[in-house]
Amino acid sequence: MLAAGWAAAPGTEDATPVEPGGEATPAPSATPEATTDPAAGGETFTGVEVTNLRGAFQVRITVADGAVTAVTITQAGTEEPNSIDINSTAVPALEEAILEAQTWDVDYVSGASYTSAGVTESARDAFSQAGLD
Amino acid sequence: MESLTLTAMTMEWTLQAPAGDRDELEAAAAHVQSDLDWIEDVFSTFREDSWISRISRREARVADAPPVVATVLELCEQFHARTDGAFDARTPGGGIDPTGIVKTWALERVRWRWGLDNSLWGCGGDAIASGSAGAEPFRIGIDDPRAPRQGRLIDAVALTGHLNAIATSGLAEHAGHIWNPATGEAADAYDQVSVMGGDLIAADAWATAIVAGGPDTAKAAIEDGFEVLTVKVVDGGLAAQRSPCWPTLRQS
Repeated sequence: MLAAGWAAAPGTEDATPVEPGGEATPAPSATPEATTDPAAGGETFTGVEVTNLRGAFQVRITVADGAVTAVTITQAGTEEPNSIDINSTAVPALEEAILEAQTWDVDYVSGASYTSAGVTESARDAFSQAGLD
Repeated sequence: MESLTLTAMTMEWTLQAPAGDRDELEAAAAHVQSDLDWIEDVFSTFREDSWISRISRREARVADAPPVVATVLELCEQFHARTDGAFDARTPGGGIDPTGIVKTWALERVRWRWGLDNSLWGCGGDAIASGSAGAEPFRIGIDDPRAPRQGRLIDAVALTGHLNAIATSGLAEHAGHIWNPATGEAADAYDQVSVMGGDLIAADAWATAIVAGGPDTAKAAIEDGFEVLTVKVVDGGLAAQRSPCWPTLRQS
C-alpha cells in the first residue's frame, strides 16, 4: 500500500523509495505538484493518482534536506488512508508472497520454458550428443 | 471472444479479441504471419542463411543487414547497460545472440496489424493487452514452475492500465548455467521470474536479467518502474517474493 504512489504512471517524476538501511535518496528537483510546506520543515510532493482494480491510490511525501521525512497516503483504495513516519518504517522492495493453491479462470498463462531459445539449445544438445554437430 | 493462433519461430502466437470480426482478424493474420516469417528468416539461429547466422560467421555485416538487425542488437546493448550487466545477450564467442529479445520485440512490432482497441496478444508465456476483455480486464495466470505448461497456476494478475504487459523467464529455458554477473557464480536465486509493466520488451529483459542477477536486480527492476514476482522451488514448495504493487488477483 505504501508504495502505491511509487508505481505511478510512466513519465511522472516521483521520489525514489527509502532504502531499507534508512538512507534516503534525494527527490528529483522538478515535480509537477511540489509545494513548500514550512510546517513540515520541507517540500511536499504529491504523486499522481493511480487507479487499479483496488481503487484509487495517492501518496504525498515531505522532503527536507534531501531526506524523506514523512509519507502520507492520501488515497488508499478501499482502505482508510494513514500517515507513516518513515524514519521508523523500512519500505521493502520485495515482500514475501504466500502462494497457496487457488484456482483462477484466466485468459492466458505466463510461464518460462516456452521460448525457442530453449528449443534451440535442446536441439543443439541433442545434435551434439548424436555426434552431428 | 475471438481467438486466433499462429505458428512461427517454433512457437504459438495467440490473439484474443473480445469484439473481433472473424473475417478481419483472419485477413490481418495473414499479414502478421508474413511479418513473423520474415523476422524468423532474419533472426533464426537455426537457419544457416539468416542474417544473424551470417553475421555470426562474419560473412555479413550488421550495416548490410536490414535495419531491424541493428535495432535489436542495439536493444540488447541498452538493456545490458540498463540492468547493470544482468541482462547479457553475449555469447562465449564474443558475438551477440539476440534470440531472447526477438520474441517480445516481434510481438510488439506486429501488434499494430490487428487494429484492435481491446486485445490480448501473446507468445511463449509473454503477453501484452490493450483495453479489456469486455467488463473484466484480461487475466493472466502465472505458471507453476514445478509443473510447467500443465495448467497449474500459482498466481493470477490483471493486465490493465500501466501494467499491461507481462513477461516470465526461468532457469529451465536456458541450457547450461546462467552466471550471476556480480558474483561470477551460477545463478540460482530464482527458478522463475515474472515482470509486469508498460513496456513488454523491457519487462522481458528485466525478467531475464533477474534470473541471472538475483534480488539486487529484482530491486533495480522495481526502481525502474516494473512489478516483479520471483519464485524459487524449495523442497518441492515455493518460496516467492513480490513487489509491493504486484497486481495479484489472489483473495487475501
